[in-house]
Amino acid sequence: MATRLPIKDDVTGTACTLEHAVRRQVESGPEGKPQDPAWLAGLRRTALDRYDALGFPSRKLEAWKYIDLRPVLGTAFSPYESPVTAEIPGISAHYLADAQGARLVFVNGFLSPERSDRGSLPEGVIVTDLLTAARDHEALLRQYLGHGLDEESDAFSALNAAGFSNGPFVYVPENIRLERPVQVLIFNTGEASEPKASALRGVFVAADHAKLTLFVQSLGTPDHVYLGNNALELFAGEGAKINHTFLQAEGSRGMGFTTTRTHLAAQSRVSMTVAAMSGAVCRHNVFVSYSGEEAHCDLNGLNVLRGDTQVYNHTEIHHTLPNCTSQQLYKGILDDKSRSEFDGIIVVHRDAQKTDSRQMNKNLLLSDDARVFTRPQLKIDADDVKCAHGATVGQLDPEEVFYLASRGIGQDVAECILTFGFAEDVVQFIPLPGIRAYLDQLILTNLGQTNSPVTCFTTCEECPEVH
Amino acid sequence: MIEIKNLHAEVNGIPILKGIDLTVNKGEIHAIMGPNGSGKSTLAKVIVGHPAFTVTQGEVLFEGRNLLELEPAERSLEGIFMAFQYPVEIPGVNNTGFLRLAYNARQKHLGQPELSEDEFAKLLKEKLSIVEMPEEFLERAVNEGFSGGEKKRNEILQMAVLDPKLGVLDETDSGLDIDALRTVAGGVNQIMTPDKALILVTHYQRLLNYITPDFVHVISDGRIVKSGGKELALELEEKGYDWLLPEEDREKELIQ
Repeated sequence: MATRLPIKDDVTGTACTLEHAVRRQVESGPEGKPQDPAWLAGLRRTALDRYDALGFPSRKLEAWKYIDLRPVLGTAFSPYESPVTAEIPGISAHYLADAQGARLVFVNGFLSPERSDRGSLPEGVIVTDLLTAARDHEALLRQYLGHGLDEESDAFSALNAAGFSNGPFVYVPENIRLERPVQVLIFNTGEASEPKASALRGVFVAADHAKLTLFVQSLGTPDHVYLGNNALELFAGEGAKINHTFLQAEGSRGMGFTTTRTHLAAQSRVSMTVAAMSGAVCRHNVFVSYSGEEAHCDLNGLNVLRGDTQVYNHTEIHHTLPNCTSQQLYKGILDDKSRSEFDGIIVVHRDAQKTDSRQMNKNLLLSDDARVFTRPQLKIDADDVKCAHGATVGQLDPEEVFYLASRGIGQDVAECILTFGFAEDVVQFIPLPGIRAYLDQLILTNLGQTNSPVTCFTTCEECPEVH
Repeated sequence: MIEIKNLHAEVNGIPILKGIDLTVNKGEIHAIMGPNGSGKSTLAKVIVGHPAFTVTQGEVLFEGRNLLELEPAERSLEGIFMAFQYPVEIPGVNNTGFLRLAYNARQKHLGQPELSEDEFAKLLKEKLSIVEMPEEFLERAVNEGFSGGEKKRNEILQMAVLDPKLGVLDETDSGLDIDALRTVAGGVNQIMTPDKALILVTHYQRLLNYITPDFVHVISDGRIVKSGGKELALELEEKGYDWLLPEEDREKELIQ
């Protein structure tokens, strides 16, 4: 498997090792592992057919115009072979202190039961892995897993559905409000010299009038070359509430591809914050669709990047029904040679009258070599809607720096506060202080400010005093 | 307290201040008035060291010390405070945290103990009553989404917290309705003590009904063309500025 396959062409090549392994698995079943039940094998077959119809993405496609996929095509990835039982230094630092709800840890594509913690959950709440759910909750899982797969528009997501090894399954039944967060930690670790690939698929359901708070992290060890091609499916039932925070902080040579599909039923509320902090190349596609009226979605994003990290955000919000709303704020702070793209489209379909949809992308460039591509887009086919969108790219406003200076705050600290505040504008949407504090620490690390007075602005209530 | 001597300043190579002389002593309130574009606000900004303005001639002494060689933050730490005409919005930075950071920076500079969150909260509560601001303002981002009046109150709150020796109010009355004006002016009067001094830059006499100046100066074309007591403000309200302008300026205004 670990042989380098010939690359026909840097952008149109289809000889991708990722695809190779998946194809083999779909066609001859998983090697050395229990066979999938027939329905799951069928689902994988459908997904692979869909992938074949879509083909590996090329730069000729508008949504894939700026991302350089050569590192993906040019690396001979092989699947991870076995779970990691040895201690992984530092992994527990990423466990949420106030999780207590439950935690699922996946290392190299395998569920890691010894690192997971089911916590104490209300009756009826399911927090498990997909393979277990396929056995114990087949009927329930089948209602959700791979929903709309035959219309999948994203090749990476189709490939994921064909080849995923496992993933989280979280189900909150009707009227149950799970206040404490469910944490899902996805971790990739291995040698620098052995490129590996993993694929997890997650299904998260808040049934009618239920509430679910989620925190999903995709992390990896530095120097290990890997590709995590993950997909998350979120379902908010009628009147349900989901609060979802997704953090991508891949290892320095890690590639993270994530597709999130969020489905909102009538009167549901979904608030999503997707943050990216590190990695070689990350791409996060978010698709939002509505199946009922009066639903609202907040979709916020934050990239705090340095080094040569590249992050590509592609979002699609489809307003197909009347009286739904959405609000989108994506912000980026880019230093060194980092690069990011915001390619966001809001589509208001013909019958979606009274849609209220806002989209904004703001970027702060801290170095001359950082680059941002921003493409906020609106496509409106209804005539009675409120829509707004915009984008900014720039440096710190000298007037803001002066304002702080005039209050006795020196230039360096003023710049740091303003930069941190720029990020905090997104972080503040996250309701749980524990998640905010965790993200604040990463932001300060990326800004090189872990010891500055700015730490007193961190949202954590028990924030350390640094003066 | 502050001595301004033959001060010349320019922005983008265009001279704005053309020889200002002004001395403000402890306990005094000076009003600076004048028509649009006369250099009133520039004077205020030069005092606090706004980077857009370059001083080309003259000197400014603050308590005998050369003010012009100090960075804006140092000037603040030395006890100069400007209430902005257009306070800046700072998304993501919470008002309390910002005020405490500024307060503690000054405490540190003065060799005084810095306050913990709890201690500062007590101090802040006291100061809030001065400007009649509800506590919820403190939890919001600095000036973000504040109305014009709320922003001006927040400026005065900052002044109350930082307790400067010299306050410079740059058109603090602009955009305020009569009730807000009264509150803001009342706040300023509470902050002002005999060991402090105030420079009020204003367009209208209105503010001076609530904060009584000891001196009124009229700036025109970058120079002080007339100084007097508080009655000068009333005279200006009645007659306008024209009678004070030099002949050639009046012609210029006519052409415009």
